[in-house]
Amino acid sequence: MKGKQVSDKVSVALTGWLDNSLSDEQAVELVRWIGEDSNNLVALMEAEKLWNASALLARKEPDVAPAWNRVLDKIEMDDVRKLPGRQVIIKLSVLMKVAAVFLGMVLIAGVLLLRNPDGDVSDNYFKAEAPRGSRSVITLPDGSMIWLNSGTTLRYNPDFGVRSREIQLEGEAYFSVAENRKIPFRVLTTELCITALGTSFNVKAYPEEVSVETTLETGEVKIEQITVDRTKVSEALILSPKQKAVFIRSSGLLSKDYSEDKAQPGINKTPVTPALKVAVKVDTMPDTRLATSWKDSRWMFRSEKLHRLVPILERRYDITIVFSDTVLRNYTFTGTIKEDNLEQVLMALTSAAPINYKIDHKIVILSEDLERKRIFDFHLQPD
Amino acid sequence: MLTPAEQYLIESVKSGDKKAFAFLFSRYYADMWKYARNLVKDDSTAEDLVMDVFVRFWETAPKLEFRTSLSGYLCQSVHNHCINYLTRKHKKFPFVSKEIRDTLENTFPAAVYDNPHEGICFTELRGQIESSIGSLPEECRRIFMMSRYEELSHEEIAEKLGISKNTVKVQIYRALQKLRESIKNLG
Repeated sequence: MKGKQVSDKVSVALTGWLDNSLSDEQAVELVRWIGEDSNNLVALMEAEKLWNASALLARKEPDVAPAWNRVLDKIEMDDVRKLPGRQVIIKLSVLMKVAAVFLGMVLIAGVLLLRNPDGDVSDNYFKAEAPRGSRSVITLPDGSMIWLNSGTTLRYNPDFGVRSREIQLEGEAYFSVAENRKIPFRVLTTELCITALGTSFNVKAYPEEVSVETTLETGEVKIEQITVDRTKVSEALILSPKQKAVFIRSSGLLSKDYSEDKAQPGINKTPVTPALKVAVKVDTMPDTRLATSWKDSRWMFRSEKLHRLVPILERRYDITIVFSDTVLRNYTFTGTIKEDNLEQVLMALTSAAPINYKIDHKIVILSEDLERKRIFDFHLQPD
Repeated sequence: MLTPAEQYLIESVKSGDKKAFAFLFSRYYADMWKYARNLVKDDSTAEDLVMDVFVRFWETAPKLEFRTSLSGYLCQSVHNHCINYLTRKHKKFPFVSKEIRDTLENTFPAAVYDNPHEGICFTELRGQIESSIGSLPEECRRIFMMSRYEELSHEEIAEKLGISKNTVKVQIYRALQKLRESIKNLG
């Protein structure tokens, strides 16, 4: 269809319609013009299609990756909501239930919710477990959500949320706590009691590791040292968002230093007594994702020594890693791992540094690639 | 109509394949963002709105039926979501008084006022526009590209070229008219 030439006045009004800058005067002109000829409405609609389509010509491009990550976070969160969560909790009383929750793209994580198999009536509890090689998420009756990292066990009482909200943690978990000012939410590790109101934080307390790390993302948590019978033996330490508290098991002190090595001299130095101020001010962590990203399908780390990454990889993929050259232990890595496939992760690590890997059943052997090392050294030599 | 590749992609997304969804996202996100930005005039609002659409797409995918192209479907969803947003925030024609706005709404059928663009493949249309731009008169083309490609405001274009703002608007509408003449099938 051949468009009729329109007056300048109408053109200006039409452009105002298209870019949402229409004035009263232009609107009146537009209404008049539309009434003039029935084809005019069609002309306007077609001009609008072209106007909108030509927006795709714009030079400025969006940042796709962060947008995708946001979408991914959202759909993973929603998936979790739709899947077992509540259902599982309701069925708990029926005894034993196995629920599978999809997390990430390639991982199927198992959550085992069991009655205490020992059958001690006074001591009944529910157990949620993410075995080595898997991760999982659970929703508690109060609406709080917990992400379990590989090799983690949680225990809580059947009346969770009624009078108290207490979780016993062995391993690493990320907590997104539903607000309830009347019933504080407590995470208990063997040495610490971490109290939250409504907040999100990460606790890493693997029995085989030397320290317990608490990283706060939002809200506020209180950390106290406890004994086996849950007696509090220190004053409370309040953590603010983006702070991380490191508790060195052997020293019995919460340390303000991030570095384990620096805190080592504290070993056996101060016996812990009740009135003790927990020796802490704590490390500020501008990017808490370094501590919490394990729960997403992107896992971030910065300037991390290989020997510190190894236990994480071992739990995540249920493997054992062996160094055939100990010098590798101190290789430092920074990066984000998106895919959850072991081979891809090993490829990424070994292409960033002169390392070779070999997988034999569930054992991964890392060795130095001397030829590549010469090349790396050559290029990395200071002038 | 859906191409076989789109068909396959959609089936995969319907069955819960996140990799297929990631592919779909990376392929259409930029276009949808640009489309939304043109309507809401704000980068981060556009990002939020487009993300809503993709998240809802993922959630409702198993139930969706596609009569049009994938980009057409997405564009329409983004368009509707943006118009709802503008309406809710009273940002559609913010300079028009209440009374005149009523007249506008009465003059235009609802379908035109909200312009749902049903069934158009915008990515295809973009290609047609690109290949027709060459046929525009020089001045007209220059102003159209400054507006659509470089995204300069009418004021900025007017200032750069030493012409009046209204001349810029006239040229832009003229460009659209000419494009309309050279693109036969507007869907």
